[in-house]
Amino acid sequence: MDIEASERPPQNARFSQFWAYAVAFGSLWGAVEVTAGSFLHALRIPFAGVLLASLGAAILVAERQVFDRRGLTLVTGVIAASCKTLSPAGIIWNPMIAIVVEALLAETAMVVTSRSRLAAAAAGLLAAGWSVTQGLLSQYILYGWTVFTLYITVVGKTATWLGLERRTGWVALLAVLALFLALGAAGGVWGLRIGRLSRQRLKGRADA
Amino acid sequence: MREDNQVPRVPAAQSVVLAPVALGCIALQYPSRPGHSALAVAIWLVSCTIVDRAVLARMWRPRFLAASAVLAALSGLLLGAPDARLAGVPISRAGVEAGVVMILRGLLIVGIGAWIARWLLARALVARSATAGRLSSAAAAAFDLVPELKSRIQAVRAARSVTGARSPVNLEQAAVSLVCQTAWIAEGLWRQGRTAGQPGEGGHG
Repeated sequence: MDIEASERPPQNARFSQFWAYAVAFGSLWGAVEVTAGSFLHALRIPFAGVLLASLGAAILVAERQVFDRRGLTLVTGVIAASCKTLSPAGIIWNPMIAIVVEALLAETAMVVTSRSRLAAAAAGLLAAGWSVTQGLLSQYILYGWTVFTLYITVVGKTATWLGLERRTGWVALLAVLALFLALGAAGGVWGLRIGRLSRQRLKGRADA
Repeated sequence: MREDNQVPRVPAAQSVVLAPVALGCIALQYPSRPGHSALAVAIWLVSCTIVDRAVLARMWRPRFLAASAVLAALSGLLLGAPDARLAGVPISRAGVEAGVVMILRGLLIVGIGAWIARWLLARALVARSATAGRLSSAAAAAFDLVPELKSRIQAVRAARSVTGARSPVNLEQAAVSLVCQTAWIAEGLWRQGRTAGQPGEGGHG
């Protein structure tokens, strides 16, 4: 990696340290959305949003380890979402709303401290949880409660066809939901680790 | 919901006409009966045809329509007791009715959502140019950085696949490298602001 090249200011705008970090990490999140997002959507992986939310939470938690300021997480999310308004593909509202709400939830989780494992896990868990919630909320707004009645029926009938108890279908659904939340929490904790290692490397370089 | 980046021109007259029509259509489809829902969608389509045709183009979403059709078919097959047959397949009339209401409701929401998005975008862009200069320039700067960071992420992925270094430890090192580079970019942006002699810019640094 060309470290020196990375220090080049890429354009002529002038920012305070707070805004500079928000811009840089907001664009990192935007770049991850573009690369990992297109990869996951191309593979048609269901609930790709949960994986992206976990990665986003990891970036936000890592950022706060490197530069810890209250409000930075939320502003970074707003900037990452704003990147999408300038995209040639046009504004895509759903991911923009998801990014801003996930950043808001991560900011809330780190409001007391951003350096604890619990806060990092909560940030990831809440971000992944919102990803699932937003999907369900969109379906409710579009189709009404009937769509959930349909899903509940599908779960019950699938369990019956497989020769399982109806309850097993619900247990399976809850297990999937728990897996998503655990994935988010793991993303947050991983972000904490990455952030700590990055802080050490940056400090080492500054000392040298 | 997609919108163009150009500032959409949404005259106030259109908002005056379409806002009460939208509320009326939502109220009309509330009893969840196919007739009411179909009438609500028809009124919305006719209103948009007369007042703001751009909304109609944004309502054409094949994936959404296909997904809605699948949900309606599943609804006819699975909801309620079968009391009719379609091509030899037992279906429930109540289920089909519920499926049709779902599609029509979805179509109406997408239509109204497309109009609201257009309206919001017009006002957001005006507000952004007028009051939110710092956020606007931050977003523009971030957007400029995205391709550079994207190429770095791809370089990291390519390096990992060429060297076969796919262990979690190497992934972690790659992630640390990426975060450090992003932090250096941030420091570069900040130093640029300081050396330019404008320390007052930004409120938190």
